[in-house]
Amino acid sequence: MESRVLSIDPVTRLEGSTRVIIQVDERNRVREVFYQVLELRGFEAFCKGRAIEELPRITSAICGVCSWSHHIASGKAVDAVLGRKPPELAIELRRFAKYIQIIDSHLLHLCIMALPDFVLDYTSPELRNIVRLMKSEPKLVRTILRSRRAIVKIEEVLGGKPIHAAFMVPGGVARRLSREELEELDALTKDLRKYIYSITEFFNKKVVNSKRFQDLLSNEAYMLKTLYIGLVGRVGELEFYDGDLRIIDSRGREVAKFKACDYAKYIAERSSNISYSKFPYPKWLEQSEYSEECIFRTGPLARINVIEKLDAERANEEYRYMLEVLGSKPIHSTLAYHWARVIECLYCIEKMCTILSEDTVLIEGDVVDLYGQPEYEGVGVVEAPRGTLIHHYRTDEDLITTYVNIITPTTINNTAINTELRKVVTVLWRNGELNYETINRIEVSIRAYDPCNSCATHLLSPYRGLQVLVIDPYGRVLKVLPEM
Amino acid sequence: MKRPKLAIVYGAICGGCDVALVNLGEKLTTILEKYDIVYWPAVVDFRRDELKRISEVDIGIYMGALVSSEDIELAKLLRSRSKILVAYGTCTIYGGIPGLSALLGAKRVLEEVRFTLTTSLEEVELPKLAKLPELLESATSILKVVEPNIFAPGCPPSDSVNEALLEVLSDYARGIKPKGRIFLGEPTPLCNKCTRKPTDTSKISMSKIRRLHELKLIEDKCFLEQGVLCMGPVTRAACDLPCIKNNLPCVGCNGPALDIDDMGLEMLSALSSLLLVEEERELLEEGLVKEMDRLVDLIGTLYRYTLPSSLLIKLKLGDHRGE
Repeated sequence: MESRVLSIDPVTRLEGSTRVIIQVDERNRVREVFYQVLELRGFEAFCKGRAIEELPRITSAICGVCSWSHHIASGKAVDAVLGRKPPELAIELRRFAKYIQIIDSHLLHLCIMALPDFVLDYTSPELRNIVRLMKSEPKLVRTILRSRRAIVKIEEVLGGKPIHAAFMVPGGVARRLSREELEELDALTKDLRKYIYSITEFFNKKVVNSKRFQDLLSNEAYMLKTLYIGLVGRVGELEFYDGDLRIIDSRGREVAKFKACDYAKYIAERSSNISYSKFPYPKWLEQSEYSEECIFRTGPLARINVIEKLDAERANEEYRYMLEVLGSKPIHSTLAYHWARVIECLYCIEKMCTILSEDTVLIEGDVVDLYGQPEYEGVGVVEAPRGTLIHHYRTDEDLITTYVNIITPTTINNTAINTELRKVVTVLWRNGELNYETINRIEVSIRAYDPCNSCATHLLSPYRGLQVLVIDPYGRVLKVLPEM
Repeated sequence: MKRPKLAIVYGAICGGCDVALVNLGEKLTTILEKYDIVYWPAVVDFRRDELKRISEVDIGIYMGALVSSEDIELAKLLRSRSKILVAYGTCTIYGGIPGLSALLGAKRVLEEVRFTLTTSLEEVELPKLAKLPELLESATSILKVVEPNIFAPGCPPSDSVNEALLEVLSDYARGIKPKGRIFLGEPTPLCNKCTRKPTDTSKISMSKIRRLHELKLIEDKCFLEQGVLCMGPVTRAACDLPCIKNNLPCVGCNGPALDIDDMGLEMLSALSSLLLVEEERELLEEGLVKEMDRLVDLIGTLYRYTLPSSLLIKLKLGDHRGE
């Protein structure tokens, strides 16, 4: 038998253009597996030269699914560049926007991309999708569509547009909301809460209880014992807008807790020729031998692992239920990402209701504070739906951008996705052919991370000295070429 | 009539166009019930090989800028299969924000990228199939490669543009075919629809220049009159002015209004007639120059969404022969 190269092109039901390449040797054994991201836009390069105050509306276009996260992280970085502290009202509105963004992206992924794998497990490929779901679960799909309508409306009230919003300004937000708008938000949020409860119920009944999901949860191939990174609040609670970054190891021990602006002491990145996405790695483990324990993971599962508590009632119940089923933290099963997403939707909607129930919180005070002494450098970090998102800028004395570094969550997860993929493919490679079922099971692994390849693939900087890393699919460094 | 086939294909996307379609909710699902979706990577599990094998698609929708050799191949493939090709979103039509990469001096810088990437390729000896697609000199518009039938501008396209598109899809399913080259959405400049407009739009006067972080924006006053650059005078009003209603100036995401070829030049000419008109005499030339220096990053502002299709880039890249 000759050696062969097979591809899954494109990997479907995720954002952006990616493919999987599988190399098989003469004896029909899997030799290499690559998860390749195929596009490159170079934001980090062409954002140089732009007026710093414009970056929140430019970098938003890195991703249309989590545009709010880029918009807000960028706005926070610009605040820091200008030395500004936004007023309390602006911060509350930003938090509120962050919550709806998490719900927006999580539900979109769960309902359109992920659910068909579990609920339509028995169908053929052309039917495993939302269109088929409309026929087999009409009530659920109606709820999903209604939830989308509420989400879009809430986002429109806040940012004018639901995608690529006009919301952040240096030192605050663009405008205050009127009483009528707050009432509208209140009604929409309560509706949305109802929909999220019913989607949760469906998830618990049809997904958590399904044999397929349970099998995958306990399948060793879909498990990685890694480092986890995410923001935590002051008392170790779940946090999306602010807080410190916390890293724990695969046994749950805290490795580091630090101010977001110190990210570069802990995270470094390499570029490789197998993908237009970079490969981040823990800086302090640069010299250690490769192992799963040296890989970062971020996102919903990582957040659930790094936090100490969830201060929202319904979310906390679901969280306890997950721990009851899966045992103690840290949870390493990749499929639990889906479950963590559901918990976060509950958390965010509860937080939104709390903010709205405090009558004056979204009304009183200024929405922008122009005061501040420019620092000409700033870092903005948020938890995006897919994990820790870092924007780091420098400017010249005219506040024109001179340096941009953006690390997206999907990039942080890139090594983990590649590593897991190799495990999964090796296990599934039994009959030596790629049929729909094997392809689907390979994709299920990738899909659990909800990779946003629009985010990941478009950031390589053509200007920066590029360190080329020859890497194998385990993320092991075979050879590092010097910076050019 | 046979169920029509629909294919949605990506170039370099941010995903916003996809979500904008999905956000149409029931309106979209009602129409999609009449179609067979034969390709849409975010939603259904069909592979590129399968797209290649399909002999004919009724409606092909292309999303995203073209940044690689593979994007060009796919755009050509979709054109050859589709009876109606829709260029969906500003990236597809004009290059969009990724088009700002054209600023990097395309050739020189991207050859550097290629060089580094090629070097590493030699190191690893990736199988042919696994080689990353070659990058173009900069992100570009689909118009450089093929001619679409329908244009749906916006970043992402607004509800009104989307509804117009759904109407086309719905008509098509009933056997009514669109004719000619169709641009969806209101064609005139945004200022015409703006609620902040001064009593006389021809008499807007910009008496100072302010950057966004230097002032608190007033909610009902024309941005230009507040000294803030707003692309309203030249931008196609194919949206419901969400940014302006939300108290931020227009950044031009719908691309140029009808009959405007080069958005930046047109805006520059608009600016020259409204900027510091009354102050000219007092400021004298020197003062005027100093004040004008406060207009920073004109290219990134005036051409934020249309650089690859601008005259500027044509001149710079020297491919203006015969034009």
